[in-house]
Amino acid sequence: MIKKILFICIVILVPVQALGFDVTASVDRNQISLGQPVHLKIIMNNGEGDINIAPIKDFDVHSQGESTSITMSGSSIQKICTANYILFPKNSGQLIIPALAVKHAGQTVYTQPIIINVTKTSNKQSQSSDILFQASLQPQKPFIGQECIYTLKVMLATRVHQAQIGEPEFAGFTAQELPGRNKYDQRVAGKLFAVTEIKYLLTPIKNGQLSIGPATLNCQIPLASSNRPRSMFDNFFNDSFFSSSRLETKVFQTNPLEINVQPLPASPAGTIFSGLVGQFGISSSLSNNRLTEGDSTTLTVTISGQGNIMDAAPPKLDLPKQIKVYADSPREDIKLQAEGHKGSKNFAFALVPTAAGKLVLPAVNLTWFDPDLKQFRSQATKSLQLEVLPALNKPAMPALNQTEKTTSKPVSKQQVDFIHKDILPLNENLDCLQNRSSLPWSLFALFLISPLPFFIFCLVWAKLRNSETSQTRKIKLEIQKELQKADKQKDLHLLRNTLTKAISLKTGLSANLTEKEIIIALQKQGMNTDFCQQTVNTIQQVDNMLFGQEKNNLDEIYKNSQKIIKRLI
Amino acid sequence: MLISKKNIIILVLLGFTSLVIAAQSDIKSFMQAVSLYQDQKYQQSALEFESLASKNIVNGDLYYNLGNAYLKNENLGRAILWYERALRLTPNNPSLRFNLEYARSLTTDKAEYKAWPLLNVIFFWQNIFSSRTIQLSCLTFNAILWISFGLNFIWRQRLSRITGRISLILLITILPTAIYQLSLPFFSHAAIILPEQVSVYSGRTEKATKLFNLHSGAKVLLQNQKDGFAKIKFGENKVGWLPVKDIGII
Repeated sequence: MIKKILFICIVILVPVQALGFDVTASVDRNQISLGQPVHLKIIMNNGEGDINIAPIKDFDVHSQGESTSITMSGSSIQKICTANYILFPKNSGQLIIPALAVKHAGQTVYTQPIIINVTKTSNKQSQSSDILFQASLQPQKPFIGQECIYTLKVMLATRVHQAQIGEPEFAGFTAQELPGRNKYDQRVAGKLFAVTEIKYLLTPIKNGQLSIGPATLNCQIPLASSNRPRSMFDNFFNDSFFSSSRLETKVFQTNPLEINVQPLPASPAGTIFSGLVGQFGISSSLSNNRLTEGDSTTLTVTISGQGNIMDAAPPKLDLPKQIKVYADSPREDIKLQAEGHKGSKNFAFALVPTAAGKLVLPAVNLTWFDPDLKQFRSQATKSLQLEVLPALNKPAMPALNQTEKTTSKPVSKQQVDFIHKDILPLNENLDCLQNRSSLPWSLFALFLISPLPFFIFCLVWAKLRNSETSQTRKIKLEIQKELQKADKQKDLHLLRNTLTKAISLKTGLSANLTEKEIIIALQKQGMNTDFCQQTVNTIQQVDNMLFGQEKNNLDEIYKNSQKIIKRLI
Repeated sequence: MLISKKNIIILVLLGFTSLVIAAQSDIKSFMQAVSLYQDQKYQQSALEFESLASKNIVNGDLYYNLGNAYLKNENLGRAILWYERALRLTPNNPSLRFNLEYARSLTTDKAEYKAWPLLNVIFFWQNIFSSRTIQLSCLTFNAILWISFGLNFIWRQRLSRITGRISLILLITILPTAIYQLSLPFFSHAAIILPEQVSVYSGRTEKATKLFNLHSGAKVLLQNQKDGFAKIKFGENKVGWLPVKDIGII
């Protein structure tokens, strides 16, 4: 019986998985026009897998991400992963989405192939005339290294929701989005469009035929109820605040661009090409052109212009041998503008002349390629004169590793402001399910007073222990007082009582004892026989004096009694 | 009737099984709620989280997630309500404070409360530790205090005296905060306005004079409840009645 129950528990506790891992592929429609996208869903049951979409040749494939859901069916748990793709047909005709391989835990499972019929002519619904999405590149035939502007133009003549732009792949280019987006209105074929331009700075890094794929615009458009005749209130009530019309997700694509990147011609003989493509200039200056031997001065060479200025390398200096050169880190002042990079780059060199005399610093040359003129250009700085006076005491040369530090401007701190505002994400730990409530009043008070019994127990125990001790002390004090009184008043009765009390305290026995009993009791308490006998003799003497006629040796008796009582207590 | 060993084992096994099933069910609900949130289905996510909270799971992180789901669903009132509830349990959660601050920035009504700096200074522990941590600390110091003093009566040791004195100082520092937190629900109920806009009346009927309006997320003090209406106070001098269903008590 127990075994049966155990088996049932295990079956309930251990999630029963669906048998095996399987995949299915589905599309939202099988009939489209050229330019229209089709949504492909690959649904993986009971696990995740790696999907190989390389066999899809007839379409441009754009991934839309994956989602995961967990469903319960009776006692079983099923995990379903869905991968979403948007496919744009490359041609018209009968196109195939072939069987796709999905790898999961060492096994490969295939989807079923899907046929899509793509018609040539686009019907009215294939491209909304209210939304235009275009791409362009300026210049259209750039040189390698020349900065180009790639513009995405989104033109809307209708309201859209949740618009998302998918950037194309800029293979063969370095790409950077330019700050700021142009927004303006433009009338096209009598229709007013709100235009947004998004610009990217592209620099081709290789020559030849390069292509930039299409960018995608994913948005939701309200479905117009075209059957109902339009009224004057439509513009007001068609606003999203009032309208509860359905939204349709649409995807638009720009035209792909084929770009012929031209190679640079050969640089003129006798020049060294700096690698810069654009419009540039060069200048130089000396911080001090008259100095003593061993002192230093700074030569600053500035390259400025528009183009790939950040690629400017330190210029080659052809200086006299008497000058030692120490290069400093270049300083850049380059801004990214709508036309590309513009600014300057300063190269500072510390010069230390080792011999006196008049020295000439030759001009520094810069050769760059101007794409507007389609030819190389060169510019040289002016040559500079440096007068070095002999040192009076031949001061020591500055250390080889030292460079004259240029004064750097203090870095100004900036206020950090929010660019956008949003909330921080969820806490996904299962710790969220632990109960962390605080104690109610009653339980808290109960736990607060629970150590009290222990404290009271300790108190009582300590008091009991002390009470025995204090009782004894009290009696001892009494005896001492009585003894003093007896001695003072020469009161034999009191003396006799005091002796009896001392014996009782020591032995723990009652007052009326015979002499033999006194000796036995005192011996039991560790007193020696002589002391016991002496005690008994003293008591006898006191009794004789009390009841007899003898009054001699009173002082001696008192002294003996005192000694005995002191020893007893 | 004697219960045999066999039956006891069976009962224990069944009890254990049902506990585990219940725990698994909570985990599934939680994962479902997280998944819905990630899929931007915030309303459903909030309902899932709330079903867990209604099972008496008192947890500041769970309430924080509820606040997030409602805020993403643009339900500011409920978002701030759950954030405030989470703040009482986990006052030192920086993400919670950040999100609550953001949510408060979205409210329409300007709070007119005077700050009580003295109370914040005396009971400063409540801004650092959760009420559960404060209570447990109090009980620990209290136990150490009484045990140390009790032992000191018996053995008279210096160590027990020092331990007792330190515990006493710590207990004196933290116990008022624990008592303050426990007594708060008895004399002060804070509540949050839930709908976008609600009218506050001079009486317990919607036919009474409309005194002022409050908006979603505004924090009020609940003074009384009767006939389905709640008497609230907003700021220093704005008092009135509104339907109980329009507020959420923190």
